[in-house]
Amino acid sequence: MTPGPPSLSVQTVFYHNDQRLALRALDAIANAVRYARSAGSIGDWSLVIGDCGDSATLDDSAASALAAAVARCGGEFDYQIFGANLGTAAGHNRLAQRSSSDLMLILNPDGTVGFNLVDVLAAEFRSRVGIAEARQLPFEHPKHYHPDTGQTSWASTACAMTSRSVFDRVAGFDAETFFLYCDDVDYSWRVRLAGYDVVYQPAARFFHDKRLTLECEVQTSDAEDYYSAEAALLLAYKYSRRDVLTEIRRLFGATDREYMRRALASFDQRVADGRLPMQIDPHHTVAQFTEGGYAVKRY
Amino acid sequence: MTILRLQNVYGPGQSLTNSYTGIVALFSQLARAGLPIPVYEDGGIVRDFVYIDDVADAIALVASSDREVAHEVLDIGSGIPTTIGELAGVLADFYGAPEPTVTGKFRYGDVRHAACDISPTVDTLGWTAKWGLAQGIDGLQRWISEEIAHTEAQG
Repeated sequence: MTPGPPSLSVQTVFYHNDQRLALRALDAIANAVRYARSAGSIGDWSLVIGDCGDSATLDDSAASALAAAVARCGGEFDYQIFGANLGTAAGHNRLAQRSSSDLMLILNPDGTVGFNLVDVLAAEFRSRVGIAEARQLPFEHPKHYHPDTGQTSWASTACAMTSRSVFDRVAGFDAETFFLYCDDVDYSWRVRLAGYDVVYQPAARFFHDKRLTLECEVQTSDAEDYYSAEAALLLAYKYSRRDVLTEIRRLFGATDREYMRRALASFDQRVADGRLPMQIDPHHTVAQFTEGGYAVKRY
Repeated sequence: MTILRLQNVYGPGQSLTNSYTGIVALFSQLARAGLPIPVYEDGGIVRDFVYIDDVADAIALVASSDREVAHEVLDIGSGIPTTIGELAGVLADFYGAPEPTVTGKFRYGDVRHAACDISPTVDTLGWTAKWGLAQGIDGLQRWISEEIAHTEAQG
């Protein structure tokens, strides 16, 4: 990193988001950056947004107001209309090319950061930390993390900070394999394979608009159901877990859930087309496949 | 079952000393004493301030309703997002106190935005908030004056 406080780019990808809610989220980001800059934990910064929607989430007036708000906090503003739905992996890879900051805060636009989030996450980048993940509220992820070091299996890029050098070293997200969902699991595991730590920092709070049903189950969208199912097959293959892949194929082949059958058909098409990723982690050193997840759960 | 989510309720009867439940009352007393109101962060924290009479109306309406409802969640607020800076300005103007001071301080746990859309509540209950912020502030100040006068009269 350069001498002095590290520089930061904050990047998020829109897809038909509500402008009012997006502006609210971005105001909270500017507020958190203002706090971090006043604490001396980051220096130069930029807000970099990519828009995958058919129509722009921000109209001209909102984009101008946002650019002015970012400038008042000493930052630069960059709003890219992609003109196509690239997905999160390709979208964030493209946004990463638009800055050269030391640190990158990658987050969803459907949440609000706490005022100290940037300050707390930036402090995690001591030696060998590649990704630092915030705590999501009100639905906190149950994955295990080391109580002292915060080390964990993977970090959700719903809200996580990563270092530019590590991002570049592992070539960012695998957008050839993952469109939405589990691109962050794969990124985390490749960061760990490269010898860096992935840490969870519960003092950094991200209020993520995820809701539970009356039965206390997470409400998921059709896109989340499908792409998570597709990613489950691809992760098992990529991380050399033939046994897990066989079991998922068996389950998806026997289910009457349409999105699972469609995910299996997509995977089989990749096999036929020769579009599967290179297999890695043959000795299973980082990848964790647990029932319904990719980490041991603490509850 | 109907769950009412109350936003920042203020008005006669509230605690005049609890800083966690009574920011309107706390600010009121500072302005009344002619002191500048300290405002955290940049003054841009957003809340929805709803007057106690509007809340009481909503509760009474739900409690006396014979609607058959399996489960519903309704927000009870003014429906108008207000920054803490705006609230402090209204109170300072009311008492002719100095302009509020933006301190730049932060308080752990504070949520930047907490407001609501009351249109589903209005559609469901036929209820709406009647008290605007200026009117509600006036109502609270009259009660605070009475409370202080009553306390002083008791010695």
